[in-house]
Amino acid sequence: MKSLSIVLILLISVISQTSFWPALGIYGAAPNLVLVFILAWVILVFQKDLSDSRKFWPIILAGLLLDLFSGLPFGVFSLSFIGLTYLVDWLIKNIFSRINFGSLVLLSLAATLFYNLILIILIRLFIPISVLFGSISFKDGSWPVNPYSFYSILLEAVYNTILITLIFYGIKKIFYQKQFR
Amino acid sequence: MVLLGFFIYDKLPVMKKIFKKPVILALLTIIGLIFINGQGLLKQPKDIFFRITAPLQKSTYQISLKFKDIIDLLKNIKRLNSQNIEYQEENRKLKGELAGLKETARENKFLRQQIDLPEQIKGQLILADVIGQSPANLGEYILIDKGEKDGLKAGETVIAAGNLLVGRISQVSNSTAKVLLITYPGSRVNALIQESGISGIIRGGSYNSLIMDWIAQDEKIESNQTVITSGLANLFPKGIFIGQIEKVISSQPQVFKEAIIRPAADFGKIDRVFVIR
Repeated sequence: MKSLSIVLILLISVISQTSFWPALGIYGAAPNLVLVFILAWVILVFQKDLSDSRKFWPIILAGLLLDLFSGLPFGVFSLSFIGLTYLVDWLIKNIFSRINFGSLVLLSLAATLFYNLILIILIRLFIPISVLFGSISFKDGSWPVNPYSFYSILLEAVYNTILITLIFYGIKKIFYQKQFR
Repeated sequence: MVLLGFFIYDKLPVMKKIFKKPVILALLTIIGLIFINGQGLLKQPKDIFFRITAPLQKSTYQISLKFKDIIDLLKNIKRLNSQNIEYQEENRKLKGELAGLKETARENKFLRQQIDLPEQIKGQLILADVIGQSPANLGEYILIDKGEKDGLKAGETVIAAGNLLVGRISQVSNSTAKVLLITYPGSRVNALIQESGISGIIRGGSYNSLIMDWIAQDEKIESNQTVITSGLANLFPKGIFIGQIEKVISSQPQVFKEAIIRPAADFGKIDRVFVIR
């Protein structure tokens, strides 16, 4: 039942990210609900311990769902989310050991910027391979980054920060009264 | 094979240890799926998935467009009144021009008959609903609800109502297709300015704008001139409306000048497109 709820939440997040938010975005930037979900998952579920393989499946599923919907080479989102999970875990362990409003804001900003950076690197790496194997058809095999994307990423970081703050404090208030005091 | 089996069996404790590490397990799963996808084995599961989710995506997208309309209306309510007066004026002018054009079309038809030229060959148009956009803020895609089963192929041109250029199909699944928009920075469209016949290449610029490049410095171009596809290289059919020149950027030391083009299609609001087959 719990797993089914997670699958449903992820599916709704992915569909809204591909069909709802892009049209409402400002300057091409929309909140990244899946990234927010992963951030919340790492902070609240993993709780500084990434050794449990069984808790990894929502992260892989989230990435795969986005891979399915995107026009980018398959696997770039999944791999970005794995990288993101480890970065967030490292940041929580080494820099933001106590989660409060300030650390949550910084964590969200860092996570959004890092996630987009890995995504750009992976896309640049994957597109020539995909073109080579014919699974994607880009005329020149390149994937130039739109200079405007930088502003979009910054805006996305702001959106995500607002969302994660709302979600984190909401969940904390309902389920984790004692744990995060 | 037997030797490999023995080897794995012999190293089983090590294998168990490796598989206990979640990062290795996750990476192996993803790499495995990338490989399977590369072999085309995920095509059917993907089709089933899209068939199930497409109706939900379609309605979500329609709702988001309605929300966008409401937000735009609230934002522009002051401007709308004065714009309405301008449009009424423009409408009157256009009606006059239309009457002239009808006459020109009639003459054109007559002249074609005289010189034995065939009517412009139009490809078959397939109507498709837009059901989603790229999940990354970096991508420049839209997802449409028509695919291989409807006869679509990668590379086919996609337009919006009114002969407005949208992009080209880059990936096709059985029931959906991904359209690479012309605003994508890597996209290239051979174009020409309708008024002067000056040609250039259009590429994606900043958010929702286009850049026309490779225009010689001595060519005269002006704002509000119309840019259409030139049909060169056979990537896009000739005569599709791309947009209008917004600004000309000219720097003397450079051989070519650029123009910023305002696209004719509103990419944030497209809900239906036509694929030219």
